[in-house]
Amino acid sequence: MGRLTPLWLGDLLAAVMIATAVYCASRVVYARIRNRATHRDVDGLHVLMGVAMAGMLTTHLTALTPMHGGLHAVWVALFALGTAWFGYRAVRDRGRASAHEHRALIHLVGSAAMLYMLLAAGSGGMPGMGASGGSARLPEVGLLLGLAATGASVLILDRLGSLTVAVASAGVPAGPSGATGPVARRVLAPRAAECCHLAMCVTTAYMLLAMFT
Amino acid sequence: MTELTSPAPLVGNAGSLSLRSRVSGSVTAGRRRTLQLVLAGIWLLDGVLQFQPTMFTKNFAQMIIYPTIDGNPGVVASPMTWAHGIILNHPVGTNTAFACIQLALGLAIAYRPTTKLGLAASLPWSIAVWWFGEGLGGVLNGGADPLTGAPGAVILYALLAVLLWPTDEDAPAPFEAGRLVGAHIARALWLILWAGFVYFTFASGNDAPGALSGQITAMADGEPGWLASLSNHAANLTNGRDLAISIALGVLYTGIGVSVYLPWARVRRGWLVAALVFAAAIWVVVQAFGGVFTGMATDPNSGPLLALLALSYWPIRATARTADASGADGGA
Repeated sequence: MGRLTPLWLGDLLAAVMIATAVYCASRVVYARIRNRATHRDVDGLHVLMGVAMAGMLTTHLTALTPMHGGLHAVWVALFALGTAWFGYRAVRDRGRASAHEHRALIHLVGSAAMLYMLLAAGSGGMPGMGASGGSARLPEVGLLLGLAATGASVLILDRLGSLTVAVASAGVPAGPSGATGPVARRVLAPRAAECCHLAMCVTTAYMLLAMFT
Repeated sequence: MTELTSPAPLVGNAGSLSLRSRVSGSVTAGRRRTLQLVLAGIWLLDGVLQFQPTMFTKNFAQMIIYPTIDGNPGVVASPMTWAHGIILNHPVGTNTAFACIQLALGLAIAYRPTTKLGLAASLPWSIAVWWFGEGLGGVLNGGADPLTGAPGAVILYALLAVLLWPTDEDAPAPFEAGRLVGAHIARALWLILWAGFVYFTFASGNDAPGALSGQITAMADGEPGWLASLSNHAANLTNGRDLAISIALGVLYTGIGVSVYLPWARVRRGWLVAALVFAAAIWVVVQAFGGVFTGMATDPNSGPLLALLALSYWPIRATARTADASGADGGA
């Protein structure tokens, strides 16, 4: 994560992010092959976030570092697009069932946080690096997004817990309905998707707050 | 509820409640669950803050733990000195453990099946941190000031864990904090807290000339420009008026403390709003958001916890009480 943070922590979080990105990519691919419906935009966002955050968290993945030269502008554009898309979805889902609304807002926070981290550190900077983090621009925005990411983590966990309780009470399999077979249940499991959201939100909150050091 | 959109509705066995309705019912759970989730969020924030780079250095022991030892009686200070030595010599290992514990507490409280476990585990942890990490919030060394976080933010976590313990929504109570321990005990706890604030305001020399402005100025150090400027303005405004401000605060604390005994719900709400405004004001102006911008914050300080406490004493309308009774409670 940085010069002040133990390297193992940055490496560990980067590994989690890569694993999450790979899993989300596999969801998209598997759903396409098996003609299943998934939220491709959400899984796509998680793939991008996982790769970008892993690049920021560890020094071993310099090729993925989103702060390098021309790549920086590409990453900024991607997350700006993501922020706009999930902002649109949040507005579109306003007034619908609260869970839908929360979900769009959670993804909006995720993509906006990535955009902020990229812009606050600027090209060539390393937002997660302790040595440069203290000079992050607009720390108030970072704090707001950090608090929002923390709140989103709590909402996801509550939802996950509700799902667990409801599945146990209803006596249905944990996998998605319509998905037959153990592979489909494992790859497309709703709870696994929620765990991905959780990992993304907690890591995002950590990276945002670590920028103040 | 799932991220995956399925062609068929996610339903259970015929004749049972549909999974979707069960889940949505849980999501729209009662006010108590919302308060629990806010507490979980604060614990989670604590865990994340504990993972900040500075906490893995000796600075954590020297700059955060060590200053709280000073002035405490030997029986309190000796174990603190011992703990400080361990943290100083093993900053990475001890901090990793602290951060993971706090993260786990937040996750456990937020996850419905483990809410009780998380709240129960938070009790001994809060008390341990209050002693070894905060020096009992300065209540014994004369350094306690409600404006800067007395009696120690972390002891408020323990209080909230008890008051927000999952319980039967049918239990009659005029406010959420009174569901488990009963309204009488909950009111007494609120009164003791705010009476303590009055005591610490006058007993700790906080009414002495320059004391208040000095504290505000100290908290502004290292903050972003606008926040430091706001705090410095506040310090200038209070400079030379310490006694008058202390008396005004004493009146405010007394009013908030006794308000829960008043028979008029509207007046009670008014004082609780005052408590919320007070919590927000000190969190921004005096506590500078717990010092999170300095990279040295281990928690968001007492402002958000006081606000959460105030909300847990918010009067429940008769209709809301009836509606809540049919809702689910976390972990119950």
